[in-house]
Amino acid sequence: MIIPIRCFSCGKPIAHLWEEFKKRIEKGEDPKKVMDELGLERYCCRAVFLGHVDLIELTSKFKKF
Amino acid sequence: MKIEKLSKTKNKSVFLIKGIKNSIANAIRRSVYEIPILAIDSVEFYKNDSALYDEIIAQRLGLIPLKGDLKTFKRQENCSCEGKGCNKCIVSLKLKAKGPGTIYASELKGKGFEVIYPQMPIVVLAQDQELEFVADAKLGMGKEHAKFTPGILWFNAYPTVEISKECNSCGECIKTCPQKAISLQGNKIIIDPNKCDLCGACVEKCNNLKKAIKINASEEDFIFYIETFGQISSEEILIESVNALNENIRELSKKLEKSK
Repeated sequence: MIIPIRCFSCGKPIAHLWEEFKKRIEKGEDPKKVMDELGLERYCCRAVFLGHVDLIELTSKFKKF
Repeated sequence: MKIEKLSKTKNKSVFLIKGIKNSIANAIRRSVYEIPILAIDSVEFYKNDSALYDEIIAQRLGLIPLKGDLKTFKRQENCSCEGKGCNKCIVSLKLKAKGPGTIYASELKGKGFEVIYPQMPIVVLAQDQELEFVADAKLGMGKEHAKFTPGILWFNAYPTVEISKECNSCGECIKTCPQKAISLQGNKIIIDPNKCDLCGACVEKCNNLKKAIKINASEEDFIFYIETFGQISSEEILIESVNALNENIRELSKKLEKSK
């Protein structure tokens, strides 16, 4: 839906890193390199980034109630 | 007791603390959840047309790390207002936004706090969608809710390395070490205890050859790793958790003294 504010497992704040990550992945950079540079060390935080799909822009077109 | 700083980056410090007991080290680690930290605790929505429900947005707001003046600010229970909530123990925030676009944490308005990571997206609004709320932030502790934790503190035992005379510097252990902690200096095998994580791969390898390496976990030397989430610095986390531990023990001894 939208990137979680913090990592599910360890609690590290990660949301502020998402837009840079997304931009650089779209440019074709290697996700491993980008995550290393962003300071995501543990595999819990890395899993949040690798598994995330931004769906909120799509869902916001539909009615909630 | 001896303390040595091994490394420091922007949000992580590593200390070597020699000569403490495992029980004390663990008590310090657990006392990280007793440090008062500022976070949003209640939200009142006036308008929310976004795709996320009020509760989800409120939960996201709570998790946003905030920096506040923790010296003068008081916990609501200990405040002079007796828990009613006043400007000494509660920070009010508000946000009013209209789509389209991403609403970032930097748009939170109020006095007495600072958003540590302004680029955090709270929600994405489509055309004509609106979001409006007021929120209260207060001091809390990690034991109440994980949003009040200042960071993570963990430790592991410092390795004690023994290399006997049997060693013929064959270099097989250098190839097996996943941490690259072993090196050949001159004719001698040297194991860097700061890099070694006690996996025992070199010991296993050497047991098939010469049985020259012995690595044990020390029982009184520990490496402390402290990672901060931004509210206070990583060194402050260590100091504050020791202070919190002291405070709790002092309170306990006071109560025991009274009940004598």
